[in-house]
Amino acid sequence: MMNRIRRSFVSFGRVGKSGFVNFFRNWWLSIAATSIMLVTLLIISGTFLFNQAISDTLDDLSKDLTVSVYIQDDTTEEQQLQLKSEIESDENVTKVTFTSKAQAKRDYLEENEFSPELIEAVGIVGGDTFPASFEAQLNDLTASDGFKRIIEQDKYSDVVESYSEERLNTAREFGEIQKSIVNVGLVIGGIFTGISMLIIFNTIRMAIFTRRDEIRMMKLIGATKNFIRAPFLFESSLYGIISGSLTTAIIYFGLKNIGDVASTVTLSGIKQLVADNILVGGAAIVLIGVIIGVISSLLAMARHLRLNT
Amino acid sequence: MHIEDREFVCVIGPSGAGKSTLLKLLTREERPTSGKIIVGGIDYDSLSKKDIPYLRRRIGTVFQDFKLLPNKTVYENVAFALEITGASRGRIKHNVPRVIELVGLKGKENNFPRQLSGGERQRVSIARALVRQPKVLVADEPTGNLDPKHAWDIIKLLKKINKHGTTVLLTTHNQDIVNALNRRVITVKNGRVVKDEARGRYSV
Repeated sequence: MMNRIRRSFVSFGRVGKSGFVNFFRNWWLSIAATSIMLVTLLIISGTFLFNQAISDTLDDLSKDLTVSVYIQDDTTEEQQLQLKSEIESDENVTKVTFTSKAQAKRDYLEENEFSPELIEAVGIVGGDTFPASFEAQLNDLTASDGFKRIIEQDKYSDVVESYSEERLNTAREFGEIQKSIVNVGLVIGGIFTGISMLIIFNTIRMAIFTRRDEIRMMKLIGATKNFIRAPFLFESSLYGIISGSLTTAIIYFGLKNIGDVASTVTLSGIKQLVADNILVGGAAIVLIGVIIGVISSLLAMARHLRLNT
Repeated sequence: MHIEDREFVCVIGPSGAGKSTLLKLLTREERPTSGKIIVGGIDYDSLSKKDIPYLRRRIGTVFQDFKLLPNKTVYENVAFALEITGASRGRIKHNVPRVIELVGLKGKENNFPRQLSGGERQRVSIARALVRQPKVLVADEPTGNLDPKHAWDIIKLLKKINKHGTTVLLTTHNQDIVNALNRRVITVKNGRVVKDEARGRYSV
């Protein structure tokens, strides 16, 4: 038993050495294979991180979401109070405030202090245009449907003039952008995975070709199939290990030095995520690279390495 | 046809008669269409594909074209035969210099095959076959690419190895060698053994 373990240990060392020699023997091909794999892994992990960043942004958007419910001018105070109490009864609503018509006008004038043409417009339309409103704060964007149901009830059709959906819409837009960019990322990632596999396939094919005399001789003097195959597997794993490590380093230092892109996308979340999981994440990226490499070299060996004589 | 332990056998016959095929049957490069092969008690019919490498490790093989690795030194070429079996570094360090000395290449351990003469290259190939201490040494036209002087050196070396207790199977075209050896000669023609003499001379 000990002997067998020692033997496989010794063989592993020899296989590794042979794999390294292969890697450097066709170094230009190895560099090509490693760089294309690097691009592939960057696209794959970039897509993942982007998805995460958009999700974080959506979370931020849905935090303390304020929806304004505008009240028609001719409603009674009773109706208003009934609406208010019903809104307050929704468990997603954390706070409801009332803005009177006069307050709404004051707010508008204050906000547009430096835009005289906008203030002038108020004078033309008349001072009474601003509706009173309830500002309801929702703690969960996804639960906004329940809130909508309350204010869209028939009995309030005379009370509620309209409600603002601005942030709801922004959130929806972000969700759509997320979906399409992730889709594009997946497609491009898939294409580059294919290209990587083709290039590694050819690199291993070349390595088999340059070593064909050696392989023939190894077979004749009694090398096992696995001993002949292992260096190629090691070599292709090496592409994954090197490019995976580079990808991890690029993401880590890249995110460290990047500011928040505008303020529309929340990056603090993935920065934290990457900082906390750099080892596990890096290992996952390396593993993806190794899997791509091993599959391609297995295909190349199945096609070009004839060991059955 | 039966070959005893420690015998020295020459296989002769015209080109295409089946000499090489006979040796390839032993190393399982070819499979027999009929008949049975038993070497050292191992029935070849019972061998599976994954036994083949282990079988080849027990039979030393010498090729006409040497089949050395050009980018490895003499020492590395010989050590390689042990490396593929998972032999320890200690065993390699112990065995390799001994066989290199046995074949008369002491002092050339660090030369590359291209720096050696044909005869010397064939010695490396023999050393590689011997380093695993096989019971049987199979040499397919080992002198085919060599000039007469080097050819003789190789034959002398094979005799020496045989004396140490290894069964040697040799195919050759060289009439002088067969006659001078004065050992068992098996003549093959059209894929059949047509003559088997204990002290044979070359006649085809």
